[in-house]
Amino acid sequence: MIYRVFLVFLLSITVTFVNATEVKVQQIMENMSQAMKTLDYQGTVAFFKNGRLDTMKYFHSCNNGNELERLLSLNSPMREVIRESGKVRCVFKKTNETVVNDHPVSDSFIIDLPENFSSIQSVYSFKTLDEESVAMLPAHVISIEPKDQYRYKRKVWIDKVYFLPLKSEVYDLAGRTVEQVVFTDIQVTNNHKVDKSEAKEKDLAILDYQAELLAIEKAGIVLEKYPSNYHIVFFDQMNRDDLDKSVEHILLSDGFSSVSVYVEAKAKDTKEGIQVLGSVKSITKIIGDFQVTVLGEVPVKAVQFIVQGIKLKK
Amino acid sequence: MNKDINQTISQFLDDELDHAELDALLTAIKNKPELKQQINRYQMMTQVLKDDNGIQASTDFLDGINKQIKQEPHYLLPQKVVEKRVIPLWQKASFAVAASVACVAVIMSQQSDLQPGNQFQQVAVVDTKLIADPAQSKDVVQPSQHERFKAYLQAHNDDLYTHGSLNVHPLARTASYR
Repeated sequence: MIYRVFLVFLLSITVTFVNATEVKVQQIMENMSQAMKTLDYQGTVAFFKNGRLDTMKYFHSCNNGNELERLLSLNSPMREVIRESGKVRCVFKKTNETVVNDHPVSDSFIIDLPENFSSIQSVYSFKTLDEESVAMLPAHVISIEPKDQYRYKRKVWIDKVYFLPLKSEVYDLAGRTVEQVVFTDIQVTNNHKVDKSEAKEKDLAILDYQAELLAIEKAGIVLEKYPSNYHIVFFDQMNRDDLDKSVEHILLSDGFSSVSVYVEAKAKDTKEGIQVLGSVKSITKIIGDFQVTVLGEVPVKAVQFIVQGIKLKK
Repeated sequence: MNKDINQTISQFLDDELDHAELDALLTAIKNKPELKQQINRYQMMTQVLKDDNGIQASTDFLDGINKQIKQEPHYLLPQKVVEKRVIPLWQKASFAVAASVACVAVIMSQQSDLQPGNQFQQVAVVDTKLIADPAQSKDVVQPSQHERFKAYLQAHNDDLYTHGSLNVHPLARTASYR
């Protein structure tokens, strides 16, 4: 009898401890999400992806709730990227070309985060690891492990004082690092000021990737299935110069990972199959007179699963 | 079947197979040993495309080749004696005359091209219908699958901003299942 009572007591302690840890991790992640949006900070960031490394100066400010992000390249091709009012503008200094994206997929140049951390816990488990230092700042280390094979594992290093993300890494299913973003120095300024762009609009050749946001009901396809906790972020009709016809684009996301579905009229050279480009996996399938491409920084299984559930609307 | 096996190999190289799929692949390799060679080829291509480096052969590899060459039996076959052909003087002279005539012909043709009033030679056929109807020409000049993939990637992620270009190599690996 005593043993049973002792066992129940131990179990209750364990459950309480696990819950407390989960709450703590969730709190840290929520603090990070809040800090990223509201603080003014700047630093130097290294982006490593698909075997390429690029270092840029990063500035973030928030003035009366209006966020402004600015990236300034340190190496060629020299460019400046500004995210303001939901749009991203990239100015290439040598050619004076500007690329404007009206509906960027990400909300941040540093890390994508879900809006609701409690709901995402059904597909990811969060763990705190031993404390480490990044850019000479002590950091919480959070491991975000997927519970299925439709997303990648990631880790994030969060500043212990301001809760800003100092480093993030994404790993493929074999545990190899496929993407890394790391601050080499960071300062919190809180002066609501980001130096304005030096580029003058009138001097620039603007390449506007126009896309019209539409209700998902207007899409020519139906997504009958997609992995748990993914949701449709938007549906738009892309009209780009580099694509000869208009393309339907549906963006799906689980908060951390995102997948795009593109639908357009079948081209003559279209080949069905899987394409792999570093961490990006894509699959193309011909359905009737249309070609459907599902693409994202997710495992092959995720793009396969989504493409299997795509049907043309009658 | 072929499409499935190519796809499975592609996933195997990305370590994206679960235990059951891995077992099935291993069984397939056991039944069809040429699949092993196919995997090796895929792996080599992947490495070359990903690293942008050539594959360095180990020193053992070179030693092995040398050893094999040394072990090859020597055949002492009688060599065919090649007679040295003497070109007679009249033949040499006729070559020289032919070369000079050709030279003169080339120079003359170039000079006549520079004279005004000469009509241009047709170097390319232009379809006038396409010029008259740009919509039709648009149908003919379609972006390739690679260009479309690049545009899709650009619309999907921030690589253009953080890396300045998309860094799109020809597709690293494509498993086609038609």
